[in-house]
Order: sequence, then C-alpha cells, then structure tokens
Amino acid sequence: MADDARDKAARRRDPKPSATSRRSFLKSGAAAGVGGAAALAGLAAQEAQAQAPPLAGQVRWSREVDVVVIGAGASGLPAAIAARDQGATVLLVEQHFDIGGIAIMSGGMIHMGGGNRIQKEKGVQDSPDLAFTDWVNAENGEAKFNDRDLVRKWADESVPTFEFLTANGLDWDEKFLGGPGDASSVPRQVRPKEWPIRKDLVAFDQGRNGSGIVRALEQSARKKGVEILLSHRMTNVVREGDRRGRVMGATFVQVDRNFTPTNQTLNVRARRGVILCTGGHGNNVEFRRSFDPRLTAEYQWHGQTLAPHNADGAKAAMAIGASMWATANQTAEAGEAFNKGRIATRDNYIRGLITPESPIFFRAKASGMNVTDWQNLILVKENGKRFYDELDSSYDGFFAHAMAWTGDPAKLNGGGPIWAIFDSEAVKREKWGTEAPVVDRERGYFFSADTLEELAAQMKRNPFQWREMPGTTLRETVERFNTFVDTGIDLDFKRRKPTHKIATPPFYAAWATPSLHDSLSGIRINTKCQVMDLQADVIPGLYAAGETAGGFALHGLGRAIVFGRIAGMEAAKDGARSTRA
Amino acid sequence: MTAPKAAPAEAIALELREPVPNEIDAGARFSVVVGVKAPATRNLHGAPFTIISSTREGDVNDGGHAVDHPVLSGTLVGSHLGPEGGHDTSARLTATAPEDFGTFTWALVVPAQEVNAVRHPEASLTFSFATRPHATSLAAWDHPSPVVAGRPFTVKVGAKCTAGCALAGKAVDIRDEAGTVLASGTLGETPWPGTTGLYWASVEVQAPAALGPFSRALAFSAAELKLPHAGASATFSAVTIPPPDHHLSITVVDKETQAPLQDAYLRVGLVRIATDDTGLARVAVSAGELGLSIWKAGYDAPDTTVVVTGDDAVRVEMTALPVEDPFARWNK
Repeated sequence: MADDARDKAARRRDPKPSATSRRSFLKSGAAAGVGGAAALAGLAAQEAQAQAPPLAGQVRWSREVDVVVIGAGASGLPAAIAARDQGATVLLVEQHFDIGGIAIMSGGMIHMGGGNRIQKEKGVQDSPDLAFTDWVNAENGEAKFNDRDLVRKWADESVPTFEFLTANGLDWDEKFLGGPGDASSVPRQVRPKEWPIRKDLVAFDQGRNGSGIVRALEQSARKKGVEILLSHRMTNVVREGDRRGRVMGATFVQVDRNFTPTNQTLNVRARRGVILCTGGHGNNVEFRRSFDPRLTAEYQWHGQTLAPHNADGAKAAMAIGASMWATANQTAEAGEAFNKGRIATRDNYIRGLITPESPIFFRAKASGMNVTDWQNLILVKENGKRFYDELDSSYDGFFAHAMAWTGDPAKLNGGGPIWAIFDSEAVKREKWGTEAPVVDRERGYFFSADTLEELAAQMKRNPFQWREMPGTTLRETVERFNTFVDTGIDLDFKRRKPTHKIATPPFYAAWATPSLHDSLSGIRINTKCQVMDLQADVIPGLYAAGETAGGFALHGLGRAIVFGRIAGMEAAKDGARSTRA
Repeated sequence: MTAPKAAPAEAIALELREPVPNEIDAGARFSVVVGVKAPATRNLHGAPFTIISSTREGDVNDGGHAVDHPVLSGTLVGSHLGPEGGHDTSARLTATAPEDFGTFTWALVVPAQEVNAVRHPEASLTFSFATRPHATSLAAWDHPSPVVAGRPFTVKVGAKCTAGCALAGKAVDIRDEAGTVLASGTLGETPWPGTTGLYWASVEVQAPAALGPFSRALAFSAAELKLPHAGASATFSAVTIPPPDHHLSITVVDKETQAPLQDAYLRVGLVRIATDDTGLARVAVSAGELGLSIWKAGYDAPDTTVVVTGDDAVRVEMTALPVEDPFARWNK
C-alpha cells in the first residue's frame, strides 16, 4: 500500500469524535496550561520521561466528561462500554491511530470460565470456586503469588463478563474451548471468530482472533456513544489538593503516526473517574529493569510498533502515590514474559505476521522469519560464540544464558544481541525469503555474505552490536558445530541430534534476540479496580485494569477484559466513594 | 603615483564532514566528504582542487622518501554544492588508495584565486590513512560425511576477496593436520550462485585410512595477485566409515495415522539421510549393531539400534507431539 493510501486508511480509522470535533478541543501547548510546551520538553517519541505531575490548580481543562478511559485495547474497550452502560459520558483515548492495542493481533483466547455457556455446552464442569482454587494453587508458579482477592473477583465475574461480551457483539467460535492449561485444571479459554473484514486487521496469520474481540467492542462502544479519541498519549494524571486528593483528570499530547509528540495538548477533566488501561511496561527499558536488571535495551517488546507498552499508566499513577503490586509475578519465571520470537526483524511478535498489507508495516519494516525447526541454525552472541542449546526455550536454561554476561567489561548487564546463523541450505529447508519485506536488511537486522568472516564484519551495522564480531571466532564456532553434526554429539551444549551443517554459501545472520511479552506486575488495585497507594488507601477517582494493573499473573485477555469491565462499572458509579479499600 | 590597491582577502575553510577510515584496502576506491566554508559572497561551484600525496611513511618502494604528487584533481561539485554556490557546503570526492602498503597523508588543496576582485588564499586540509592488504576468506561445502576410509571424495572450496577482486585461476589447497598438501583446486571463472564473488572449485581428495572424525584445512595463497592480499584459512570436517556392504531401507511413518513422513532426518550409525516423499530412506551401511535416531520437528521417536546382517528393511513410527507448538503459550 502506498503511503497516501495508508494515510487514507489511517484516517478512516481515526474518525472525528462523535460529539465534538477533535479540533475544537485541541489547544496549543502554550495556551492549554500544564506547563505548555515546557511540559513537553524532553518527551521522547518512545520514552516519555517521568515528570512531576501538575497540580490541579495549574491545569486548564479543555474537556470534561464523566469517565476518561486511557487505552483502547482489551481492557479499555470493555471499561468504556461498561461505564457508558451506567449512563456515564465516556471519552476513550488511544495513542495509536486505531483502536485495539496488542489484543488486535492476539490469538483472541480469553481465559475466563467459571461455567460459561460454551463450557456447559461442551460438558465441562466448572465453577467460580474451581476457577478460584486453580488460580491460587500454591504449587503453580503462575498462581501462587496472585492476590487472592483479585482472583476471587475474576472467578466470580468471569461468567457475567462472558455474557457482557456476548451482548456487545462478540461472535464466538463455538467449536473452540481451550485448555486445560497454565493454572487451569479444566478448559476455560474461549475465543471469538477472527474479524471478517480484512482491512480492519493488523496482522495476518493463522487465527488472529483478537481482532474479533476489539472490533466488535469498538462497534458496540461507538454505537452506545462512547467518544473515541485516537493518536493521543497520556502524559499525566492530575490529582487535586497537592497530589493528595481526588483524581481530577488527565493530560494528553497528540502524537503523530510514529508516536512522536506534536505540540498539541489536551486536558480532560473526569467527573467520576480516570481508568488506566495503557498496557504493561515491556517497552520501557528502565521501568522493566526495576524488576530485572538484565533487560537492557537490546530486548524488544514485541508490540512496539503497534501498541508500545511504555508503562505510561504505572508511571503516572506512581507519580501521584500509587503502589506496585505482586511484583513477584514478574520475575517468577512461570508466566509468559519472554519468547524467542521471529527472527530477522526487530518487531518480532511470534504470531503477529505484519505484512506490507498491514497498516503498521511502515513502522515494523519487515515481517520476519518464523523458525519451524531450530535445527536449521545456531544462535551466537555478539562475540560469535554459541551460548546454549538452540532447541531449548526454558527460563533457567536458554533465556538465562541468553541474558548472561558475555565477559565484555564494557557491557555488564544484558546478554547483548543474539544472531541466528545459517546457510543457504537452511533457507531452502525453511522456505524462507531472504529479502524485503520478509527481512530487515536496511536497519541492520539481517545480513548475508559469501563467507562467515564477511558475515561477521557486516553485523556491526546493527545498532545493538556494540563491537565487531570477530570473524575468525564465528568461523571457528561454525566449524566446531559442524563436527558435532558429523558425530551426532554436541559436546558443548548437548543439543539433541545436531542435524544440519552450516556450510553452503551464502551465509546468513538474522536478529534472534529474545522478545518480551507479558507484563505480569503493575500498580496495585483492589477488587473494584481502584488504584491504591502504599498505605493501602484508595486514590479516589483513579482506576486501572489490564497489564497496567498488578496482582494477577493470568496471561493476557481474560484478566484484561474482566477487570476492564469492572473498572468501567465502578468508575461510572464513583463520585463520593470512601477513600478506604 | 600610488601603488595599486591590493584586493581584499577572504579565507576558505575546509573540513572533513565524515571521518576517513583509518585503514583502506590497497587500491580500493574510497570517498572523502569535505566541508567547504566560504564567505557568503563566494560561489564555489567549479572551484578547482587537487589532492596531493605529500608524505609517505614506511613505503616499501622508495624507502620512505617523501614524494609529493597529485593523486586526484577536479572541481568542487557535490550534492550540496550546486550552481548557486554557498558558504557552507560539502562535496564527496572519490579517490583510489595507493596499491602498496604504508601510511599516507594526503592534502586536499584549493589553490589561491581571485574572484570578483576578492582574493582567496590557498586553503588546504590534510588527512591520513593506512593501506592494508585485501582480506580473503574461504568456505568448504557439499562434501559427504561420512566418507569411506581411504576413498576419494569431492568437496567444493571457495575463496572471496573483501574488495571484490576476481580470484579466478588462483589455487586453494587442502592440507592434512601436518600441513601436507593433499589436493589443490583452481578457482573457476564464475562465482558460486547466490554469492557476490565467491570463486570456487570442486576438488577431489582422499579420505584418511583411519576410521573416525577428521578435519582438513583449506589454505589460499594470494601471492600472485596484483594487489596485496592476506592469505586465509578454514577447515572442514567429516568422519570415515568402513566400506558398506549392505543396504538398509528405512520407512518412517506417523504412528497414529501411518502416513509416511517426508524429511525425517535419520542417523544410522554415522550415516545421515532424509526420507523422501514416500517416507523412505535407503542407506548403505556395514554389518553390525548401529544406532538409529530420527529428527523431525513436531514429532518424536526414541533412539534405537538396528543389527545389520544383510540387506534389510526397517519401519519406524514417530509420535506427533501433542500440539506442542513451542509458541503455543504465546499464541493466546
């Protein structure tokens, strides 16, 4: 798609708000208060730095609604609808030029249960009690650190949420019921059909059924009168009374198609509540390193070109006193925080095939290669040496060694970039394309060369390859591995059945640095999704759901949707709530 | 009588806009991006320049004597140096590095000139670099493993010059551990398909008589090339086995469906082979008890052994892994 056509497509997805022209409430930074342009200084495209939140008295409000929902993904859409269902006026604000968040390219499996219709029709015996028991299982790494109050709420609200989704237009895949799996002892994962309108999709691969969730909810939200404002990134949550009182609203900056802030700001007062549904923190290097110092910049969050999880919600909430919650979940190495990802591209969501047809391809630049058999390659670090069994994908095996120190005193944290090395025979076996749009040569995530020494010399063009890979080392690594193929025994890392030599020119190097997935911890909420501070007091008027919130390591959509709906309902009822949990 | 009034002088300043590499391949083309700062009134389009090699250090040809001679002359025309001229523009000058070794200091000189009654004194800029021999590298591929002990086998060998020099007609030697040349191949005229300049040859070489793993070294000597090249080395490996005396036909099927499995990778003893579209692989082996292992992504089968006493057929069942899509956890 040409840029012009893509622009038009983006505009189609970015309709004007239903009630008020967006232009009418956009003010210039200088005129809008909140420090004006100065407040935007230093706000980088991908990494807004933490700023002292403005005092309520300093803010000139541009808009006023009952509820502001920030983030139009798996938690924000149900939150907005639920609040609107309670009669609240709702503004749903999203930083991307379209709704959907990362959910739009997910498989759409919603981990709920408790005895929903599809479970019953398939004869699965489930109940809220069983769902609760499963997800507080003391022997399960995804369950044992969970806040049991939140798990209880999720278990109790799963069936009502299933009915809520049904009422808001989800077209269920009646044949499917996934599980048991993770901590669930019975099948609980339901999913809708993939959204049938191809131009509304972002990724194209087998079953991106998440589109069937967010597009249906978008349609329902618009029909019910939820106002959706796209291309705006939240910059602060404003709390009255020297940042100790009720949350008054939030401030935003307009961003362009590359998420770069413009000079247009917007300050929205929320009479009843602000709901943070901004996603997790995977794309914020220093925030994620507060959990795990190894997670330096070479590791990418796989939704970076669709829905950058910059920890915006958590940062803004913490700036006005919010606490983090159940942080053990983030480093328990039981949930889904890491994967090996696609190779040959930086934006490497394992199942999110971003082709040139995708409206975000201009950001992703390449689709990447899917590895069907890791026997076709070896993985080396930036020094040209193998580091672990390439067939492994365990936390304490592969990922621990991927992030281990390489011995370079110039880089102590993080393990540096990892490269898949393979030959032309591997390309044939995997049926890989080796040119654009499959691979990203332009930005240095894929290289080819006639010999291994030449291949190594090229890799310094990658922005994370901080030193030149020694060509002799890479050649010797490959030659040694090839002897393992001769004998069938990997003397270095005990890889099972080394099968293919790497010998036939040309040779290839593809970016294969692990990818971050779930945020499994976030800010503290109670069972009404009210954000809480370090004294366990509610921050009045502030709510959170989805990966912004902590306390429950359930993967993805189930947690986001259930608590998004709760947040919307509770915020709409808010106004004079007690400040105790 | 008064002396004629001297024209006013305005200086031109030159600077490097991109660093010149410390090392440049001998005889290779390289670019110098020079910034030209001149008074706003000065139109530099078409201004002459000369690059002079003013110093040589450690030159093997002339004993280190300083020699001044122009290596490049022209006029300043660059992407940002249009007919309108300019007071802060840049030009990309492409030069050829000397073909011999040494450290060189070159001077870019814009000579003194007078334009529109304004005198511009000579401006100059020096930069240094060293020339290096072209790097070469090698590859060996398409040889069997295992090979029968003491028998000849063929291997493809290739050599590449980083600067893209044509290496056709040059030799790549194959040596044993002691450095004895066992065979030599003369590189052909056409690079290996898919490469930019890997010149290659197919070489026949004798396998060692002893059974087991062995490696062979490749060596490329570039002494006869016009430009200086560094030599290169690499190794390849294989294993030797006794002469086979029987044939084994192995059929691999899905345990549940009994459907034949293509591209299942078998290892029988040290012999590696893949199944065809009928699930069949035929291997030549010698008598005895041989290990049999199979790899196919998405399937599993236990390692086993076969006792070979004559030609035989074996059927192996592989179990499909329970949708153990390794990415299933992230496919939600």
